[in-house]
Amino acid sequence: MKVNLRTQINDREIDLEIEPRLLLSDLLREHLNFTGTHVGCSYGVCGACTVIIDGKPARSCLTLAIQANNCSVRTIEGVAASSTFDRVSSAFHQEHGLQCGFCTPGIICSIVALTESGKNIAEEDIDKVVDGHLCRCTGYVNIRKAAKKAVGIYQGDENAR
Amino acid sequence: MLGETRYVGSSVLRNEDQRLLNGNGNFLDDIKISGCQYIHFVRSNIAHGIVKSIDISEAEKVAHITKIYTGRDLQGMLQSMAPSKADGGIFEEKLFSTMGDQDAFIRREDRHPIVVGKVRHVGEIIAVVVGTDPYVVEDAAELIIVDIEEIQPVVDPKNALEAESPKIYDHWEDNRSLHLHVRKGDIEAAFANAHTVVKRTFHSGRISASPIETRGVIAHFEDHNEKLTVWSSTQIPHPVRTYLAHSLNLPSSRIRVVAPDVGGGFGCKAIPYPEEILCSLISIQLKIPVRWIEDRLEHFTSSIHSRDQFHDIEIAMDAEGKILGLRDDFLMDCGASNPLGVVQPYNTIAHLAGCYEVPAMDVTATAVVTNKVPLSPYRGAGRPEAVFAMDRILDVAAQELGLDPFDVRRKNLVPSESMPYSVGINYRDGAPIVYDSGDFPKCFDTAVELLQSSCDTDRRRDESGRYIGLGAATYVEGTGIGPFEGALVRVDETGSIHVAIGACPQGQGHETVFAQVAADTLSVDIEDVKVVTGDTDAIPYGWGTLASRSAVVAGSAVYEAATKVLQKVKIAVADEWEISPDDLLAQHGRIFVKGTPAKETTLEEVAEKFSPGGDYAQKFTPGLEEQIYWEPPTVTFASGVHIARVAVDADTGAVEILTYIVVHDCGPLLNPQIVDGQIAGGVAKGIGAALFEEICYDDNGQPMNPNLMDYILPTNDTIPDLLIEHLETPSPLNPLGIKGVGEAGTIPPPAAIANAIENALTEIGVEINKVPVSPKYLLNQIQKTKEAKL
Amino acid sequence: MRPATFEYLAPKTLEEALELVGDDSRPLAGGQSLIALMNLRFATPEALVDLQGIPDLTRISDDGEFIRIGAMASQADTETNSIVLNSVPLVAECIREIGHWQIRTRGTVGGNLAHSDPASELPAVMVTLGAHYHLASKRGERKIPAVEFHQGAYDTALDPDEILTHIAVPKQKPTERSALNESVRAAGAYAIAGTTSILERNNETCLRAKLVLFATGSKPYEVQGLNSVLVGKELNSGSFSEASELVASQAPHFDDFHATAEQRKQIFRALSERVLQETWQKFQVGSS
Repeated sequence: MKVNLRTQINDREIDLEIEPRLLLSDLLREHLNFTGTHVGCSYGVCGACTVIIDGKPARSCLTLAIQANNCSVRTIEGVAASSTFDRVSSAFHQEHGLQCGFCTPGIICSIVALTESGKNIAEEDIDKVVDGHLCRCTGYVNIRKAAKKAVGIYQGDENAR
Repeated sequence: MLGETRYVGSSVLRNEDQRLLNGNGNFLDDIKISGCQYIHFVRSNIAHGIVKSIDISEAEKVAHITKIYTGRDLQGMLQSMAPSKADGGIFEEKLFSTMGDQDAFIRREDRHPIVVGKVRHVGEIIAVVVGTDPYVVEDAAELIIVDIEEIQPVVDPKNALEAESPKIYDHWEDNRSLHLHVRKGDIEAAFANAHTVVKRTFHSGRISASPIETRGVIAHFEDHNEKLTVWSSTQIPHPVRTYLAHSLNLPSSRIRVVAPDVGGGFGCKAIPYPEEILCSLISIQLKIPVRWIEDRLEHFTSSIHSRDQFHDIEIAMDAEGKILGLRDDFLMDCGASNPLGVVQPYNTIAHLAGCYEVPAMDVTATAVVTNKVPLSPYRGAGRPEAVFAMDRILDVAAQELGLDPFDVRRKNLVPSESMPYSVGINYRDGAPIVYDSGDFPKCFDTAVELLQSSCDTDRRRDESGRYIGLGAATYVEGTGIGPFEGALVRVDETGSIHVAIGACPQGQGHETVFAQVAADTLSVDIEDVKVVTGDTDAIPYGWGTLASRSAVVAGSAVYEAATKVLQKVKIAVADEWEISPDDLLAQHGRIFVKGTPAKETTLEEVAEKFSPGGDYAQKFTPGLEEQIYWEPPTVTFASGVHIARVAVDADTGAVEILTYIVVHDCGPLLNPQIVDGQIAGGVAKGIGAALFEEICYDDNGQPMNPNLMDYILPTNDTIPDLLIEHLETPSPLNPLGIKGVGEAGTIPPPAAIANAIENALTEIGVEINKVPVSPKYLLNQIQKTKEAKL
Repeated sequence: MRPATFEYLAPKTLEEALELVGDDSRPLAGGQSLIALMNLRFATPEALVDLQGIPDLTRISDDGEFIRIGAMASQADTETNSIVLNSVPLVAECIREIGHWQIRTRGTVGGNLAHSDPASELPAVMVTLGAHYHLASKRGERKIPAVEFHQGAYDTALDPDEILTHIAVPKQKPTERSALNESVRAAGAYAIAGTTSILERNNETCLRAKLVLFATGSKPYEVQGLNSVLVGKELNSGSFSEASELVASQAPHFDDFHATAEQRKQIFRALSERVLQETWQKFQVGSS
């Protein structure tokens, strides 16, 4: 039996009849065409599907769409329209914090959520947040640099142009 | 060679980043085609057996299911997948003809893309479910009842060699799929004259590539123009096209294969797969677009695995620690088939001597088939296995001789004055191995200096009692293998530069690096260059991005094609101005006479005149474009040294990497930041292989850890910051002087880290003979050592 | 890897929820374990009763003697909650080791406990701290000690018609210190072995000691006879070493993919010695 989902996704009001089993990741990707949210494992380990639900990063593959009822969901497409994004994305660009880019939107969502959390961010907080994402290309070194640069605790490699 | 460079050699920020950062990347599963249906594969959960029956009656009744196919339904419509010249087979004839050993052979096995009769590993495709909803195809798949009569599985590769072992392929005389034998020098004399001989067995465990984007295929056959378009998350669109053409009996020109943004490959997307053929066939049959996205379990049970070599290696040394000779007899468990033939085992042979002078060697390789996922090259491709055997046995020998392993290593390096250095055996392309460039001693000394300046090398224990140790490993890497790569460079009538290449990236930054090369060759602004990759309709022939080859082979092709375009420009302009082409200079998009810059035209104007009907087009070939297929003479050798400093908790078996040093020589760096990124990513994979990653099978041929909970990928907390330095000795083998770098970082970490762990535990006396050094393995070795001492 | 069909029920009150849960109608908390299992189709419940709409279940409060943590309190909220940080610091310390922040934002305290994963830290901490779980059903409410709630791997005392409503954790006394450590191969991976401990001190001597092992393949294991080794003594490295011998002799036999039973005993021994040391040191530095 279908259920009614009312939620806000990237500032868009959504009112849909959905199957209860529809995963949030599929709602975003298959129904709303927010394909920037990627799915890498479907069991919460890889972190590629991370989105921001009510201000907090969460795995969209481990969230039923209906669990987002009355929530506010931001995907990378919504995040990309925010003021925080420019600083974070340009740090990743400058520090070569991405290679294939598949895990990247999830990481950006996590870093943006951390930045917007209002807490005083220490280096260890960044490390812990990056711990929650698997990346198979970069070896994490440049992700750490980029994330630290984005929150202003690392100045970056000045040689990059 | 390039003249003035504005871009090559600089860390130009990547052109591909923006779309990937803001969620507009175009990965396989992001491509939405109207009316596209979902495919779910039912796979064998039995390792070895005969399919007796497949009951699809309940599954067919499920709403939204379009069609269910079994092997029998599709049998007659497909050619079997024979390993073909479209992959590693290209060089095999030449290699075997130069090997000179009568016993050497390779057995080819034709495999059907879907099981017909015999199942050979857990994960093989048994049935295909097509439906309109991704959830429902899974529901239906659960209702399919497959009856398989089990056969005793072959799991241990050593048992596979025994006469009484069940056979994977009934028509084969035994389970060996390959035997190679290479020798040089007087091996018997080397061992007879040795002061010390040590022998050990080293195992490089079975690894899954595990890119974060799994594989996937969308196939769309359009009836109206009889054209099949296949989007695949692949490293090799052109070879996939060839495979599809053969398998489906279609003209290659009616097939377009596109690799969109690919979320990591590392070798596991560098062979054609059954799913590409099956999706295509089903799209043709049903006349609808279909899509399949590999799930993570499927990745572990159907995408290739790699490594899995057991080396019985023996080294003969003189009293001073100089290598006299090397024997190695290794066994590779290639799983149910060996899709790339000699590539991985022969790479091991070719790289075994590495940076060292080895006067005599005798190496045999045997590959056996077993009931596991097929084995094929993964980043490093046979080289990490070679370095693990060679650099481990050197440490064992040093220990036996009472010498410092760093000193022994240094003493045996090929001296810089011996370059170019001929190893005395052939590469897998059949050409003699010649280290064309490099300075191994300088590389080594630089690494040691970095080590000494970065940490206290005398410290043996930390405050919590962990043991600290150091280990080194060196490597060479044949990069930029052929047979060719193509580049099409066109200046369009608006003056913008279009570059299409056959190489196709999975994160390596092709859209940036090849734009740098094209921009500097043509002396234009990089913003005016657009690089197109991964589309068989963009350039007719191509090979793919794998084997640390693209910068060298595609880079040379881009350079040559752009150079020819520039020549064409100069010839036409010179003809019009009635001067010699040599008097012309091209700079920043302007063409002018040397010394008289007032007389000038622009690339845009020239391009317009080359448009069909234009002034130049009347006299010269129309179109300001050139297409080049660059064929390397043979590989060019990159080289390097890694040093690891680790802390080992002997109570829990945990290993932490404290310091990691890389000194690498891949010639002039096209883009230093991207090169460092490749190295860091490679090292992380090497650390994974050294400490975490191994796919294990139980006695029934069931994978024990086909998930990311139990197959542990390196996480952020496990990878330290790296200290990286470069040597830039140019290669004489290509116009840019460059050598490949994609795999380099992955090659030595297992050896360097294992050496460091062993060094840390000197007091206990533990030997490390296997990677990954998991806590289970390490604690077992410690226990065994302690018991042996009792 | 997508779930099978199920019916979705979203009660607004506990009473409504209790009407709905039953044999094949399972409570859905944060779903961070359950949905993963459903995606793999290892779990195929006929109905899910989503508890997230019941506001009472997320409350964290201090009733003087106990910190009461609502079963639906998210792990991320709990680990940063000042009441929790001040009064049951081991709970906060422990939760920081569960999965990742991105998991803990939706993962709940009650969901973790009811899942009773043998490798999970939190059940062991609750056993260590002597927490009580409050269970409700149409039949009434009951209170059960953590040690009785966790009956084995993924096995609890929760009846199919019951819902875990909140956990009452005794506040840490000024004379108590606690700690946790574990052996994990990489961030977020399952623990190979883990230990958690609480020590109470009177002047310079140990008044009470408790040590619990997790990742034993079953329920958390409380080390027996620890008091006789530690209580009444000024603790030093010798005492911790003696206690760890006790652990080695008792640790449950559990052999799996990541460690043999003997290796696990050895790891438990090492971790126990360290966790006791660490707990004791917290007295010296005045930390909680």
